[in-house]
Amino acid sequence: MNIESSDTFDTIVEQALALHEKGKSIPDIIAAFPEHENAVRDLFHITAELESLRDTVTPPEDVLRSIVARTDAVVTHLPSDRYLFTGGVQGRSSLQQFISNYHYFFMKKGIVGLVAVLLLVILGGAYYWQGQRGVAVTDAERQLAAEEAELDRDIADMESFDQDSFLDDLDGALAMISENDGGAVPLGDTAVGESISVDALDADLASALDSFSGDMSDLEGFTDDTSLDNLDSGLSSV
Amino acid sequence: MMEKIENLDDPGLLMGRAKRGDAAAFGELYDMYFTPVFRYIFARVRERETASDLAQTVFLKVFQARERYMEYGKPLAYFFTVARNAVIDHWKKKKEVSLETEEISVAVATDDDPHEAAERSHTAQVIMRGIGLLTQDQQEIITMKFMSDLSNKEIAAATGRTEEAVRQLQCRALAALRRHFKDLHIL
Repeated sequence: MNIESSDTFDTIVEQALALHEKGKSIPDIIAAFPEHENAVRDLFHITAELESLRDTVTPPEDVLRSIVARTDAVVTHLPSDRYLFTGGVQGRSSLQQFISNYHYFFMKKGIVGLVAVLLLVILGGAYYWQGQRGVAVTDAERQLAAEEAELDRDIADMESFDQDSFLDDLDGALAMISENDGGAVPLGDTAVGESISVDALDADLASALDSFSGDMSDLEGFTDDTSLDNLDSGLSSV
Repeated sequence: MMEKIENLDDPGLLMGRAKRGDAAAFGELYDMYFTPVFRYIFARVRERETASDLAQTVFLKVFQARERYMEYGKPLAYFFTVARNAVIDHWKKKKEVSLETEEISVAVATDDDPHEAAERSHTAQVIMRGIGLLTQDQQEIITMKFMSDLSNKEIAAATGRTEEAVRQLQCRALAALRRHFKDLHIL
């Protein structure tokens, strides 16, 4: 058995393959290396086995059809839209597509990205403002409700006063108070220690009316006085 | 006047047309490159489902970046560069590389011998396991060369290496595979 060193085999392989590439047939190449016939035979046996592998590995046809269908789908769209479709072609998730399409928004179509960002800012601002306004309205409503409740309480109090029967008999009540306090109650302009009763009040009222009647009589007397009729002539003579 | 259709098989012209928004031209490129790209990715990740997902990613990335494609570059190298990066990204996320290969289902014709088909499937499994023992650089070169049928020049363009570096990596990989197969008494 002819056993060559590794270096020798490398050299034979190199030369034999070079001849094969130039179109020499395998029997001719074997004949060209009579001392290393086994090595050359082994070489071409290995290359034949390796080449035979080609037939054992066949690509699935559906893969090729799938690629062609996907690229056709991309080709049929406008160039500006292709960036959005390539993610779908590669079977990426929505999030991955969004991330991978960042260049569509921020590089290739800068103006689109700018407008999109501005719209987002405006919408965000509007949402925030609406939220703040809602809070202010709530405060005002709360204050109004409190005031309304207070007003209701006042109305209820007034209605209770209106229904109070104590005021129906004022004279009786005053007499009762007077009796309870021993007939001496300090009230209004009445001097301290002066007795007050309904009878006394009536007497005061009658006295005041008499005085008023006197004053009225005096006034009528002035009306009848003729000394003033010639006031102008009097003053002229003076 | 009917437009003269010519050089429909020229990937460079197809890529140029695809770049100008011709979806049909891109479809032609898909038909041309999908199988070799898928085989390369499958040999690197060893999972059919993952290979399908990555292949889709590669073609969609190329489609999306078609406007950046340079006219003077080779579309094949462009596709494989994107595929290579997709595989590297996949490993960075996964952080561990499995040597296990998903069972390879060999296409069996109705008149094939089931026993022979099973044997072919087993051999494929053994070869894939052997490739998995190579260094990452060697695996890359070997899968591009033998699974996707790229020339050394195309591999150099796709990987950013010189043709000489590609040739050396290829020789070392084949030598390592020979040792492995001899250990398994396959050779």
